[in-house]
Amino acid sequence: MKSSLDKAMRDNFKKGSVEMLILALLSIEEMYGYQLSKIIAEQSSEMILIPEGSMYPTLYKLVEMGHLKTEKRLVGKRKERSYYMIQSSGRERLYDLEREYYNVHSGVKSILKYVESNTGDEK
Amino acid sequence: MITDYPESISHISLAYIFNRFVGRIMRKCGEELWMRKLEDDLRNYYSDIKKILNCKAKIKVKFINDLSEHIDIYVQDHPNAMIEEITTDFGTPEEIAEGFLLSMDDKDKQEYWTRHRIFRRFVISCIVITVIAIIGVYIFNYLYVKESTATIIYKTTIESEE
Repeated sequence: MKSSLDKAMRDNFKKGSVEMLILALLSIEEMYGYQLSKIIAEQSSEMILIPEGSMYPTLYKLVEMGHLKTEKRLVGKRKERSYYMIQSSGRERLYDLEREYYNVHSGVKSILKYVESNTGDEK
Repeated sequence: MITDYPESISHISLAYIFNRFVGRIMRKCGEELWMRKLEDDLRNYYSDIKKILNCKAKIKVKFINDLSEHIDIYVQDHPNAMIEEITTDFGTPEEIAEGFLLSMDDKDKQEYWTRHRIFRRFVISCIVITVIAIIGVYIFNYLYVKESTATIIYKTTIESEE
């Protein structure tokens, strides 16, 4: 029971993080799927690796909700590539997610500081 | 020594020509064989993912197209990649399908399974109705034919007696 709750929490956290990271990168410029996963891996020094099986459903969901728009572009002579671009509702969603993330991060930091200070006192 | 010198130069030239020309052709053939093998392996890879993925057909097709586009670009960046390396970096078909299903909305998952259940019940009902219909036709045919045959025999007997 506990392990399935832990897994559910981790999965929910992952889902929210993936969405935020994708929107954040697309707020800089439009990108295609491979480019997104490569930049995330490079910029996080491979600490964050988003599997393609998780990234694409998130992209589809964001397109469905109107936060992103997708466009096929010709690359070379015959190949097409899907580019994703952020919409205004996507920027609002990004702002909400970032605020939520910073709140949680600040809360966790405060608790860890409290634990550290109490552990120091005991010593 | 002096007489040997031109010979060795011609040997070197021949070897150089062989290496440049024939070697290039062999490398090209090797590359094409390798590409063909990789294409076959990737086709099987996508087919395995398709079999395991339980979601709407439209989303499945879109995902496989996007994944193949993604892997194409990966292969361009890693020219010597084989299917083993691709499986290590991207995951096995089971891992990809699991990641995909975990990322799906609960609402979408429920919608898919409801449709799947309705479709399954529809197919089973059709099969049951078809079997009942076949049995019914067989019984009806048997009884009707038996009765018709009995009537014919009876009439023939009466006519012959007369």
